[in-house]
Amino acid sequence: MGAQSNMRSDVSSKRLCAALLFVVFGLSACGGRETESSSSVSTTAPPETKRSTAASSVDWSSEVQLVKVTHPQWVEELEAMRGGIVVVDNWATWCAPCLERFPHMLEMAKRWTPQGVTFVSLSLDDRDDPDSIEQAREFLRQQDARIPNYLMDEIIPDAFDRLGLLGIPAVFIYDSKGTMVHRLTGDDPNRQYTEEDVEEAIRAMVGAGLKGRSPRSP
Amino acid sequence: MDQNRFKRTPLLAIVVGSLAVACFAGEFNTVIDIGAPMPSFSNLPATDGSSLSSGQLKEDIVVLVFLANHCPWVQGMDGDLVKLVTETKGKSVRFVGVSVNHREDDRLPAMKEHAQKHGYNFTYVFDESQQLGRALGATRTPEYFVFGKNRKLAYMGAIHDSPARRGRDGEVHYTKGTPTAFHVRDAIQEMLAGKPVSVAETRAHGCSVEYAK
Repeated sequence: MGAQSNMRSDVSSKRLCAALLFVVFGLSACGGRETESSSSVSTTAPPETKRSTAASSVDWSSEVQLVKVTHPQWVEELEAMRGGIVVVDNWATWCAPCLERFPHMLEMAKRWTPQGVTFVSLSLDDRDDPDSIEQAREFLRQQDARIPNYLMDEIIPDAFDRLGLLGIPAVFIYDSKGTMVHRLTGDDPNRQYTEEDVEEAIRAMVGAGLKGRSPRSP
Repeated sequence: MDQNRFKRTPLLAIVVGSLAVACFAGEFNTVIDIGAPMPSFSNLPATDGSSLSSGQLKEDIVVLVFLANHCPWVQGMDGDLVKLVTETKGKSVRFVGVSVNHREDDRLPAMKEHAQKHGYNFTYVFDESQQLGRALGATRTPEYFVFGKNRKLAYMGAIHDSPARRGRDGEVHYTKGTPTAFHVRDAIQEMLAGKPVSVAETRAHGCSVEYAK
């Protein structure tokens, strides 16, 4: 898979190292978060305990919801999802190809979730612009995206830096140990990833027995 | 539109491309690094009805900026670009906007409308073959590549340190407030003064360039 070779480049390695550093430091920093459902916004932060995260406290399947997370909280969410394959779709409403690819991601989620693969969306919309957040929520609702949907509660360029992203759409795939094993991006003009690359990566991981858990209840 | 411009110098393009991939990836660019030569191009159609080739560029400094009409980040920083071009009038600096995407709203007819609406005061060309974008490793819009008199890359990245997006409300939203570091302007000034560029690479923030698979 061409896009996989991105991981082997020096550039990606630098960003991966930066991301790992943030993982290490991020695990020790936990704050409040905002949960934004399709009908309401709660700013009440639940008590923080290890593994007590939005992923475990929100019923993602009952209605479309969007949860704000700072980068350290996002790291914590990923940590809480450890145990199975996790596919993260980095997107934003300002990103036209992201919107075009999103339905396919949901279609894949329907097929792979029963096999223990968790699909997550991470919006990189402007946390400081209520209209942008509303637009993201509208889109998710239109798509009936009943998967864990997060919105990065950071200034957009900072979020990109912390995630080691140059651009979106981008898909990160983690194995059951929480290690990012596929980083599918458009960083190289000559190695642009496709939906087939995502599909192939998941198929190979599931086929290799890397899923490691049953579908989780909310 | 001449889609075969690179075929005129295939060996050079291949050699330069291979060397770039093998040796010259930047911190935020997977294809080239500072010091890389400007790729040659020919007969790219422009919004004013003319066409542009790299051999026509006689100025001391050439700024190639990758744009996309549809992109809210391009729209958000159009004003900054136009202002920068105005500031360099009378100096030996040439700005060339390049559109690469194949989506209808980024193609030449839409480019003409966009250039007129936003007061583009520079040549705006369509790189339909996407060869120029690929050769430079341009993956976001807007993304700047500044070349000196020797046509070596001296700066690549963002125009300044506060990426701006045009919202649905039509307003421009600067993500980090008023910009304080004007990377492209500073690079040009340093180059015109014969000094080395102090900040040679930054991460351009914007929409992703959509390359044909």
